[in-house]
Amino acid sequence: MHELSIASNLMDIVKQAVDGQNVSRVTTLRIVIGELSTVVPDCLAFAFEIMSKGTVAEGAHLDFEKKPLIGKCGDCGREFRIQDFVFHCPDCDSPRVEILSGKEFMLKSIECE
Amino acid sequence: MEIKVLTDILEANDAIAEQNRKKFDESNVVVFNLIGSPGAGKTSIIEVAIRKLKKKYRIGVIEGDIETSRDAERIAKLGVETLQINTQGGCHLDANMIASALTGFPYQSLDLLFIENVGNLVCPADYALGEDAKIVVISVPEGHDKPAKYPVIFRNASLMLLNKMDLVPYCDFDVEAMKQDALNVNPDLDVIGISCTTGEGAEEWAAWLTERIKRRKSRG
Ligand SMILES: Nc1nc2c(ncn2[C@@H]2O[C@H](COP(=O)(O)OP(=O)(O)OP(=O)(O)O)[C@@H](O)[C@H]2O)c(=O)[nH]1
Ligand SMILES: [Mg+2]
Ligand SMILES: [Zn+2]
Repeated sequence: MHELSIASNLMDIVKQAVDGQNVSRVTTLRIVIGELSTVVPDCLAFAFEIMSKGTVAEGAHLDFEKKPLIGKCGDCGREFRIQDFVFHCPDCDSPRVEILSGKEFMLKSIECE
Repeated sequence: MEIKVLTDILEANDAIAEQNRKKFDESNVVVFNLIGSPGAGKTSIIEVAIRKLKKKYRIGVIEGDIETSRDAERIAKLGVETLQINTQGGCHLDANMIASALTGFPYQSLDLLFIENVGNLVCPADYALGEDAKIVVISVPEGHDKPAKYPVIFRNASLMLLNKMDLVPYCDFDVEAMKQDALNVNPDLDVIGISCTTGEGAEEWAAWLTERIKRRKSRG
């Protein structure tokens, strides 16, 4: 698991975002995480807790918005929830499936005081 | 107060990977990132490729390992350019490690570069290094349920090498079911069954690589 290195990336992004913004404390990080991401939210929250000690983001809460894996069939156009990672259209069985959501791993916004 | 950020958390890595990719492109070197569990046979598979292709192409290998340099020593014996990266406990190679390694490595003179990632099916899947393609190495004793358990790497790979085919008679392993599961996750995945001990599939593996190298050369 590489949640420590991700927490460090996250810290860098937060520092950059609050730079010059007159922020005394970051209270919440809103993270969007797709079903296809290998990151484990609890591990990341723990790693971030360690990583943020003594910074403006110390004690900040990590809020995870989970995105389901949604695909769109390249043949019949049907949009569907991809179950059990089977990338086949449930209607026409086409394997040409484009991923519409589920790959995200993004810091969407931060709440600060 | 809310500050909108909308930044991909792995963006820093992706940006460096893109720079690596540019360097590889400029030198016309085809790069493969080999990912698989510890002991799946990543080093053995690279050795097979080197034996088959070293007369025709200039090959180099970057070995990612947590602590030792054993794999690099094995590869160096075959007389190709080899470089060791120790991740010091890290569970994957990242683009920055490759970028640093490239400063002292004559990749410019190569046709083909293998990067053996740290033995792990999960973490390396998320980290682009600047490679042309990821190759996932699975071995028969690991069992045929891997695509369902580790879908991300199967989704992101271009080729699955199913290694240790010589052990199929001794393991409860359904080759066809495994292939089907892998193709469900990634319909574009190429699949080659191989055995580094009997030589089965070695020809096909070499042909797959040759095709990729030729495609690159014709692109110029
Ligand atoms: N029976 C059998 N054994 C194999 C085959 N390929 C590799 N092995 C053996 O499997 C063991 C591991 O092979 P390696 O090539 O070192 O595997 P690796 O994936 O590079 O391992 P790490 O770098 O430690 O993660 C060695 O003892 C090999 O001799 C094969 O096709 N059949
Ligand atoms: Mg190895
Ligand atoms: Zn369809």
